[in-house]
Amino acid sequence: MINRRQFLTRAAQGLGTAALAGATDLSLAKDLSGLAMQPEQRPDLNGILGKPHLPAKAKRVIYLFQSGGPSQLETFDYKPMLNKMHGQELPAEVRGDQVLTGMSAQQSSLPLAGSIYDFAQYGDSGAWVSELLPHTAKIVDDLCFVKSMHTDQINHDPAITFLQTGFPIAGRPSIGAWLNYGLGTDNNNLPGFIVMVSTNGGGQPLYSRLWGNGFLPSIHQGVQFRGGKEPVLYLNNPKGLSMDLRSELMQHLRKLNEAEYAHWHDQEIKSRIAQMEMAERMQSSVPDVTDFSDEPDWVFEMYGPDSRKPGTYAANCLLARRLAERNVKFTQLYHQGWDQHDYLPGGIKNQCKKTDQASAALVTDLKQRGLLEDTLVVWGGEFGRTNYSQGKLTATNYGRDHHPGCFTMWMAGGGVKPGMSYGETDEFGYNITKNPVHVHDFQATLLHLMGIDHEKLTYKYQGRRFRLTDVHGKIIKDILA
Amino acid sequence: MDLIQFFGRFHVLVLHLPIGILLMAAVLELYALFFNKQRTKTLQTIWLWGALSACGAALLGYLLSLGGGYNADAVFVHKAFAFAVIGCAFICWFYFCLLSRISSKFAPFITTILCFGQLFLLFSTGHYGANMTHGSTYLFDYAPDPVRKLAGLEAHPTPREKVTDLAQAHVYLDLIGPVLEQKCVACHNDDKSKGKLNLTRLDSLFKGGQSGPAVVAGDLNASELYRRITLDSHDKKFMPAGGKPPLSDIQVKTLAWWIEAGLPQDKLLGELELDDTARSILATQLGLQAAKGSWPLAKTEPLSQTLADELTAAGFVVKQISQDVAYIDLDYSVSRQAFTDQALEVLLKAKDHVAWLNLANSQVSDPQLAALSQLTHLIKLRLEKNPITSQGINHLAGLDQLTYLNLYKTKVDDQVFSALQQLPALKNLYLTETLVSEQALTQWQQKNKTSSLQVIAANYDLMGQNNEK
Repeated sequence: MINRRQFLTRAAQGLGTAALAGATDLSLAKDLSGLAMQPEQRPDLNGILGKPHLPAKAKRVIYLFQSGGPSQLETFDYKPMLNKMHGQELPAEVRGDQVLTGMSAQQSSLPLAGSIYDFAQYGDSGAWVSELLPHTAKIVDDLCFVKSMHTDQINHDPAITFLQTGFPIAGRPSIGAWLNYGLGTDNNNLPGFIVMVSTNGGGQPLYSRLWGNGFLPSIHQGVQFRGGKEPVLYLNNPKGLSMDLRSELMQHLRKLNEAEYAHWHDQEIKSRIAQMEMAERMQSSVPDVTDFSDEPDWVFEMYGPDSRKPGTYAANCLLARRLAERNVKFTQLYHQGWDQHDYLPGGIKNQCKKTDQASAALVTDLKQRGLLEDTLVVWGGEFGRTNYSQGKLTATNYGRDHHPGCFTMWMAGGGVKPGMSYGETDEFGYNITKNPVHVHDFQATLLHLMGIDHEKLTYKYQGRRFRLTDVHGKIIKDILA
Repeated sequence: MDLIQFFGRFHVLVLHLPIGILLMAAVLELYALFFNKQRTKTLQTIWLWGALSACGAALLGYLLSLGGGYNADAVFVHKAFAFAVIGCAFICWFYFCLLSRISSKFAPFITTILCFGQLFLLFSTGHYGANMTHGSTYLFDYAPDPVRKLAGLEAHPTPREKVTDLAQAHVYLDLIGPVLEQKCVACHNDDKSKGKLNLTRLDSLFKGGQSGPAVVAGDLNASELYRRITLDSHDKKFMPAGGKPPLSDIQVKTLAWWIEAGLPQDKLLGELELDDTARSILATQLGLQAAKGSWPLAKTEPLSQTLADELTAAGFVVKQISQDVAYIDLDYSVSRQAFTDQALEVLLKAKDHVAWLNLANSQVSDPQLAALSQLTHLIKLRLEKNPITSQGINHLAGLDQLTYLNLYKTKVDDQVFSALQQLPALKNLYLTETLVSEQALTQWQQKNKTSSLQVIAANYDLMGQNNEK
């Protein structure tokens, strides 16, 4: 029996719920109900778009993010002029109106610093690569270098946020979240967006909002695999709890959550239900993908000795390949420690040693498995470094400050032309002289390769339709295969 | 000048007022007359408003015409009719104000003449005005031939026969003309020549416009036309202006080729020397070959929802290739079961739709491959990590769209090369960690040096001892 009080309370709730439901249908239906709408089309699998705008060249992305801003001048952008003018002042007309960071702006002198490391040309494409990257040098004919990247941001956090979300201030969805929101998943047993941060990097901090969902439903946020033996915690059932019992518990929990959803119509409850179910599937899919025991020795030799130590960049590269084999749409590796303001020669050598072999092995490995065809591999940081020395320039030591004006990235596979170099910088390695590529252009191109028109994947939030490329971005047609 | 243009452009807005108001006045007058209804006095006011709004529209139209870009004769005709409309509207106002006071047996006759006269002038003015905006042929472009004859126009010209041979294509009539006609001529014609540029004929095209010559033989940078169509699409000077559809990449390349080739005119392509790039561009523009990167298969209807559900239930991840391409991308590799014959049966139901298929790591067997040969639209096929042999691959003969075949870590051996002849479109073949020997691979590569097929096989150095056969 319902007493008078309960009756009144429920009636009032019912009215409220009906009103809320009405509002949801009118204004929020398209935006918030990615999981609730049109169940027959399985939008959890096919994303909000249902089908891509155009046939995808790349079905998945592995983004090897080199956090801190690797120096282009010691890696791929060969500038013999800097060696010739080593120690001389940066000409004012080259610097132009470039604003410097507080770290080198007060320096009385800005002496040009040539790379201490030698360069040579490799492959049929004749790409210049420094001696620090002997393994990458072997695969240059599979790579597409973009030498003319530039960004609006001069410090780490805004610059990384800008690259990952298209806006320097936190709060927008990251690339991987957009992709999953738009395209859905190709393997419902694993998250479509997985993030790994190397344990052997160190340096400027990273934040989980860099792989956040922003205003998109939270089901689209990146899932971080921890470095170490257990990439995802609490996957095993507690002692004494059988799988059946656990399943039953989950079913009841789902019922409770659905009742709550019926009451509040909060889409985040739907996300929560979906995440719970994903977690249940991950109990078996994650151990399968993270257990390397089925990899032969030659694979570990290919990725380098670090690949046997869970959590290292090399091991993460190998794991990224295993995730690609299982159709994970967006795998993002972060490797920190590229921020060489001082002691650059030693620091960058160390960084290259940790990353060079595994990066190259990943491309080669994907290629021989036939996966490079539709997997886009991206290598790059958030900005470049200055051509002048920050701090004292000596014969064997120098540092470089942040430089947003130009930096180098490379891409491989997934519909990008192999064995080419796009864009040029001046002989001082300071300004772009040909085919500049802005961060938004890079993002527009990445979405294009995945089959998305970057101007058409939008999300209405607080009265405005947002997109990854904000109101900018041009596809770099010349690098499309 | 700028302010004049600013106001002038309001002409296209304001002109609709006299059209609506005068039309309403004339129709209501005639209605009252013919159906013997009470005539409302408000009609006097409506006539006055019609006349005044016509004056306003005319004034703004005059300002617009000061900006130039319109054929003087066309402006004159439009203007003359506009004055007539204004005159007629004031006469009507005057007459109908008096009408209540005088009564004559001619009154119904005069009313009829005035109203029909006003309507005729109104529509004529509108028509000649619209001709200036859209071009004088706009109205009857798609009219059936009898209607065109009534309007005193020639019947539709028989369209040029579709070119089937690159060498037989006429440079202007088949290549350049159609591009200009489709994207430029609406604003650059005899009547409306924006920027004093007329692109309907070669001689006026060569004459150029107010920014100089439109095209300069052999010099893309000096060719204003080329510069304008290749600007950033957000640039104020980008053409086609005003958000009209831009030229396609291949159209731009065709014009670039024409300028660089020195602007040949009355020539057939066969008479010119063409390199491979030019051939490919021109053949694409003429529709003789598919554009690079375009979808290679014929259009098809989308897969039915029932079948999609059935495939999903059988363990496939089902995705349509894109919004315009209704073929599907099927993935069984993430299903946790072996590829059963039941799944195969469902797959074969969708055989007209499957373009990409991933059966990696699914215990696919040789006999099942025989059935796969029915999937004739297959472009990509992933069979890696399955216990299949060269005999199985032989069954795939006849998949003549197949460009990508992944046999990584399968049991295929040296015999696999003999099956390749049956797969004419194959571009990428993956044979790493198979039983294919290094010798057989080298031998095949020696024999097929010019083949467009790229074979990625074992990295024998790397695998060293571990992969000894």
